[in-house]
Amino acid sequence: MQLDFVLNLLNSLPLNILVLMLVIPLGGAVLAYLLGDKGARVITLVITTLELSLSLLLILGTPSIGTDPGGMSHTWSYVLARLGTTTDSPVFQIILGVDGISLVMVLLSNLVVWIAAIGSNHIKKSGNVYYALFLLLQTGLLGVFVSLDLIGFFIFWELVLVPMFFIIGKWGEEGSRHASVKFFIYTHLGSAVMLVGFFYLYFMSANFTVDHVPTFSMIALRDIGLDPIIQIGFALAIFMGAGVKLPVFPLHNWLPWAHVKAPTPGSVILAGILLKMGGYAFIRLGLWMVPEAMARLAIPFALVAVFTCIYAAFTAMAQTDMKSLVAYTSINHMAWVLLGVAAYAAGYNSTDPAIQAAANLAIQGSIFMMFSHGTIISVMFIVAGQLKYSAGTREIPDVKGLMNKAPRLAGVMIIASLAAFGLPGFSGFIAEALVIFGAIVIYPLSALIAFGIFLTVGYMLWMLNRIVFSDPDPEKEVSEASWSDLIAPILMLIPVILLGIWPDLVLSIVQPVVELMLTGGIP
Amino acid sequence: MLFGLPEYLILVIPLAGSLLVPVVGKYSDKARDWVPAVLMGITMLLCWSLIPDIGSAPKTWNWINIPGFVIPFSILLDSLSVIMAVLASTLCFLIYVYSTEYMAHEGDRNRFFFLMLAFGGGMLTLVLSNNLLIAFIGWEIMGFCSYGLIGFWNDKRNPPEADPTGYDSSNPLLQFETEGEYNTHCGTKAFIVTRIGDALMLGGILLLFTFTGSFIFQDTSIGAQAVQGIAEHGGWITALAGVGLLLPTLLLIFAGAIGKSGQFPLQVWLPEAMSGPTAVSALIHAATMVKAGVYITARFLVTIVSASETSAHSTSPAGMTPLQIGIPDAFTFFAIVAVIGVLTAFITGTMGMASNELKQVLAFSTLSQLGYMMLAIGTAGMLTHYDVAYLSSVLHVVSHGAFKALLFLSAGGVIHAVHTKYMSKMGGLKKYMPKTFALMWIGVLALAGIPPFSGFWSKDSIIEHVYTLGVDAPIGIFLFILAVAAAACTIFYSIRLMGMVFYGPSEFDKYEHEEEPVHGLNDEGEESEESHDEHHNVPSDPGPAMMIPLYILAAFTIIAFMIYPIIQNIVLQTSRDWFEILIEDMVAVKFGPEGIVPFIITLGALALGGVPAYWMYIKNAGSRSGSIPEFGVRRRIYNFLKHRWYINESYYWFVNKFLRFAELWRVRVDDSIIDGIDFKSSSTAQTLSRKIRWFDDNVVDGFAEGISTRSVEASEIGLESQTGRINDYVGVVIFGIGLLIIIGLLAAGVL
Repeated sequence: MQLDFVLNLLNSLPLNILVLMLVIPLGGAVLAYLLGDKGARVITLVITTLELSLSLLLILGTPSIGTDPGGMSHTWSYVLARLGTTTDSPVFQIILGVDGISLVMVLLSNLVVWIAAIGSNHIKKSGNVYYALFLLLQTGLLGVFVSLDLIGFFIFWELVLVPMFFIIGKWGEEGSRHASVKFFIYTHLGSAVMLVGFFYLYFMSANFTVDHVPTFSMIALRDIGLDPIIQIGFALAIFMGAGVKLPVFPLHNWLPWAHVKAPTPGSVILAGILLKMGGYAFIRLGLWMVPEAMARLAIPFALVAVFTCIYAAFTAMAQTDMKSLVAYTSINHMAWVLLGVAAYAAGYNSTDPAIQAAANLAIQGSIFMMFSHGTIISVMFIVAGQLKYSAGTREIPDVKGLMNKAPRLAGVMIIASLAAFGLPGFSGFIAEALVIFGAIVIYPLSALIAFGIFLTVGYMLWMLNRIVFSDPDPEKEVSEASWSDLIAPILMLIPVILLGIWPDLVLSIVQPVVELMLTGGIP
Repeated sequence: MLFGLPEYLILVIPLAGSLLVPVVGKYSDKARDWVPAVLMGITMLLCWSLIPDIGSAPKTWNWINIPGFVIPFSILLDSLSVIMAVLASTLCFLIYVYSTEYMAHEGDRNRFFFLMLAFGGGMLTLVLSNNLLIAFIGWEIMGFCSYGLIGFWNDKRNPPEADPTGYDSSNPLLQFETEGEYNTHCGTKAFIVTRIGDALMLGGILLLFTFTGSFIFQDTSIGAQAVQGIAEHGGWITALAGVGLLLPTLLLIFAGAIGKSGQFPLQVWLPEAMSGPTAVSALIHAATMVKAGVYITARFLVTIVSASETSAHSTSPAGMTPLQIGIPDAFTFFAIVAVIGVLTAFITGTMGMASNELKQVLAFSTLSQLGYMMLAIGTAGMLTHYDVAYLSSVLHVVSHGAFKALLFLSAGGVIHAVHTKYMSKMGGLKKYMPKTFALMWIGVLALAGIPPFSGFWSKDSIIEHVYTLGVDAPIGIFLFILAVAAAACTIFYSIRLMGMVFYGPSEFDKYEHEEEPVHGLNDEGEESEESHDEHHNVPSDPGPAMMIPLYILAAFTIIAFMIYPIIQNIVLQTSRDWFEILIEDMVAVKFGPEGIVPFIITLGALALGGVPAYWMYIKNAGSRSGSIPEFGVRRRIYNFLKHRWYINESYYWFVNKFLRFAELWRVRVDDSIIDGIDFKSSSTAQTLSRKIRWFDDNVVDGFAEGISTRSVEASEIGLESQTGRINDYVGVVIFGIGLLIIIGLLAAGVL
C-alpha cells in the first residue's frame, strides 16, 4: 500500500521516520517525568496517539518489500563503536529498517501501547515515574521490531526489561515484587543464551563475508552456510531467548506470575507485545535469517507447540483467578505461533508446491495470530482488570450475575471471549484456520492442536457461564464499569472484528515478504 | 421488448419491492397497502410486454462465473414461461388490489403485504428463470411465504370454530386451544409437507447437474462464453438412462412438484392451508404456489421433448405409436405423472363432495383440477402429438387460475360477510349478496366444465386427449375412466356448494324482519353501519376494490373461448387464423369422429353428478330430504370421504408414533447415555485440569522456585564461612597450602 500524499508526508519529515518514532517516546519520557502526575498522563496520551498515527503513516506509505538491501525500507544506521582504527575494521552499529512483517508488528505495538495508555487511568501513585517508564518501554518495543542488527536488537530487547520490571514491581498488586524478579530472571536467562548465539554468529561471519570482516548485520548474516551442529545450537539459543518470551512449556512460568501481578496496562503490554517479541524473534532471527537452523528443530518445535497449547488450555481451565485464566490463554494462543513457525521451517525448502503453499499459509497464520492475539488479549486483560474494580475480586467463583448487574462490562467480556476462542467473524478464527490449514499438510499429527481449540471453547464458555450468565448473588456488590473504563477495550474490538471479516488488511502486507522468503531471494 | 428495460426487473421489482413495504408502512398505512398492488401492476405490464419477445434467445447476466463453473443468471422467454408469468402477475395484481380492502381492518399488515409481494416475486422467479438453481430459489421463497401467510393469523385467541358436521379427533397433534394455534399448525404443516417434496427435488436437481454439468434449460451465453443448456443437448438423457438413473432423477424432481402442487400422496397440506386469509388462499391456488409444480413438470416435458430431438410435428397421425420420446424410461415417467394426476383428480374430487368448509371445498376442487393438469402433461408425454395435450394443460392452468381466483375471492366476500367458514351455517344468501351470487355461479360453472365457460374448453380437451391415448394404450382407458369420474364429482360438489351457501332459508331472514320496524326508513347499508352486534349485521356485497377484480375475472371466464385461440397460437408458435382455430380446433373437434365419444361420455358424467346434486341441494334446499341416514352404506361412504380417505389421519398417526419414539429415545438413550458421556467427560476434563494445574504450580514452577530457594540457601551456607575471625582464615590458608603442596608433590611424581 503506497499512497502518494503519504509518501510526500513521509519524505517531508525532518528525520528518518523510524528514528523519529524511537526518539519521540524517549523525549516524552523525560517530559513526563518532569511534568508531574496530571501532565504526564496528558503527554503520554499525546505521544502514544502521535506514535500510532506515525505508524499508520508508515504502513500506508511503505511497500512491503522496499528497495533497500534485504527488501527493507527507511534504512538508517548509526555506528556505536569501531573496533579498530582502519575503516574496514568491525563495527558495533545500530541499523534500522522495516519490511512487511516489521510494519505489522510496529502497528500492533503502537496500537496496544495506545490502548494501554488509555487504560492506565487507574494508576494513581507517582504517575510521572510510571508514565516515564511507560514511554521508555515503548521505545524499547519499537526498537526490537525495527532493528536490523543483532546488537541493536539485543539492546532494545533488554531495554524492554527494565521499565517492565519496575512497572510490575512498583505498580502491581500484592506479591508483585516476587513476580517482577521472576520475570526478570527468566527473560534475562533466555536473553543471555541468545546473546551467546549472536556472538558465535558474529565470529563465524568473518569466514563468509566478502572482506572477512565479522558483522552483526542481519541482512549480511542471511543464509550463511553454517555447520549442522552449529545450526542446532543456534536454533536452541533462539529457542531459549524467544521461547521464554513467547512462552513455551517449560519456560512459561514467569508469565502467569507477571501477568497476574502486573497492573492492567502492564499486563496488556506484556501479553499484547512482549510475547510478540518472542514470535518475532523466531521469525526474524530464525526463519528470515537462518531458516536452515530452524528446519533442524522443526519437529521438536511442533511437538512443543502442540503440547504447550493443550497443556496451557488444561491449566487455564483449572484457574480461578480471571487474570490467570487469560494469562494461560495467552500461552495457549502463542503456541499456535510456534506451530506455524515450525511448519514453515519444515516445509519452506520443499520442492512440492503444495508443501510450499502450506508453509506460506502457516507462517502468514503465525503473523496474523500475533496481531490478532495482541488485540484480543488486550481486551481480555482490561476486562479482567476491570472485574477487580467492579466486583472487588477476580476470583471466578465469587463473581456472579455480571449480565444483570453490569451489562456493558458483560457485553465486552462476551465479545472478547468469543473472539478469544476463535469464533468465525473474529480475527482469532482466521489466524487459527491459517495456521492449522498450513500445519496439517506438513505435519498431519498437528491436527491434535484442534483439541486445544476444543478445550479453549470449553473453559471460556464455562468461565462466561460462571461469571456472566449466573444468577446474581444479592450479597455481593457488583457495579457497572464506567464508559471511561470501557473505551479502551471497545476501541480495541474494532480491529478484532475488522480483521475477522477483512483479514487481507494485514495479510496483504505480510504476504510479499513471505513469498520472497519462500523463493529464498534477496532483492 | 420490455420498453428497453432489462428483463430481470420483473423479478427484482416484486422481490426488492417487498422490502419496501414495511418502510412505506412507517409513513402511511394506506400507501403501504397499495404498494404491492402498484408494484405488481408495473410488473404485470412488463410481463405483458414480453409476449412479442416469445421465442427469443434467453437473456443472461453473470451470477456465478468461476472459470469452468459458470452459472449465469438467465431469463427464459419461451411461450410456457411467458404465459405463466403473465398469468401469475395478472392474478397477483388483481388479488393484491382485492387485499387492500379485504385486509383493511386487520393488524400487522406490514408482514402480510411483505409476504404477499415476495410470494408473487418468488413465482415470477421460478417461471422466468432459465436456471434450475435460481428457479429453485424462487420455489423456496414461495414455500417460506406460504408458511408465513397460511399461519398469518397466528395470534387469534378465540377457540377454533367447530365444524357442525365434523368428527372428534383423538389425535394429540390436532388439539388446539386457540385459532391462532390452529393456523400456525396449518402453516407449519404446509411448509413441512412441501419441504418433503423440495428436499427430494433438490436431490433430483443435483443428480441432473452431475450428469449434465448445467443448471441451464436453454443454451445461452455470457459475453463470448457459451453456456450449454440441457434442452438442446440430449446426451444426458441417454447417459442417465444408461446407468438406470433417468427415471429416479425425473421422479425426484417430480416429487417436488407433487409436494408443491398437492398431488397424491402429498395432497394433505392444501385443505388445511385454507386457514389463512382468503386473499392468501386465492394467491396460493390461482396464481402461485400450486401452479409451480405444474409449471416445473411442464417445463421438464418441454425440455425432455426438446432434448430427445424428435420434432414435435413430424410424426403423422396415422403412425400411432404412443411414444413420442423414444426412451422407455421417459414414457414410464410420464405414465407415472398421468397416473398420479388422475388419482389426485379423482380422490380429492370425492373428498370435496363431503367437505363442509366453504374454502376447503374449493381447495379440494383445486387439487382435483391440478390433477387434471398433471394428467394432461403426463398424457402429452405419452402421446405422439405431445403439443396438443400440453397445450390443453397450459389452457387449463390459465382457465383454472382465473375461475379459481374468482371463486376464492367471492368466497372470501361471503366469509367476510357471514363470519363463518362452514357451509352448513350459511344458506339463503342469494338475496343478500346478489352480485356475489351471480359471480360465483359463473365460477362454479366454469369449474364444472359447462360450455361455454372457460373450464369446459380446457378440461374437455384434456379428457379428449386421454381418450385418444386410451385408443392405443391400455393405461389410457384407466386414466379416462377416472378422469370422467372426477368430472362427475366436480359438478356434484360445485352445485352442492352453491346450494348450501346461497339457496334455502337464511338465518338472517328473521333478523331482518325483527329490525325492519325499528329502522323502517333506513336503507340496508346504514343499518349495518349502525348496528354494533355482529349477528345483526345483514350480509351484503363487498365494496369496489373487492368487486372490480371479480368482474374482470368473471369476464375472462365467460369470453375465454375467444382468447384461447390466441394462446394456442402463442404456445404452439403458429400463426393460424383466429376464427379457424375457434371453429376447427375447439368446436368442430368435439363433434368429429374422435371427439364425439369422449364428449358425450363427459356430458353423461356431468349429468350423473349434476342432477342428484341439483335435486338434493337446490331443489330441496333446506329440507331434510337430501340428508344422509345415520347408518348404512351411504353413511359409511360419507364418513370415509369426510375422513379424507384416512390418508391425512394416517400421516398424523405416523408422525405421532415417530414423536413418541423420539421422546422415548430422548429419555432412554440421549438423556441417560449420551448426555451421561458428556457430563462424565466434562467432569473428567475438570479433574484432569486441576491435576495439571497442580503439576504446573508445584513441579514446573516448583522446580524453578526450588532452584532459587536452594541457591539462596547455598549462598547462606557460604555466608557462614565468612566468620570474620582471623584464626579461621589462617587455618584455612594453611590447610590450602598443605593441599597444594601435596598436589605438587603428586604431580612431580615424588609420592
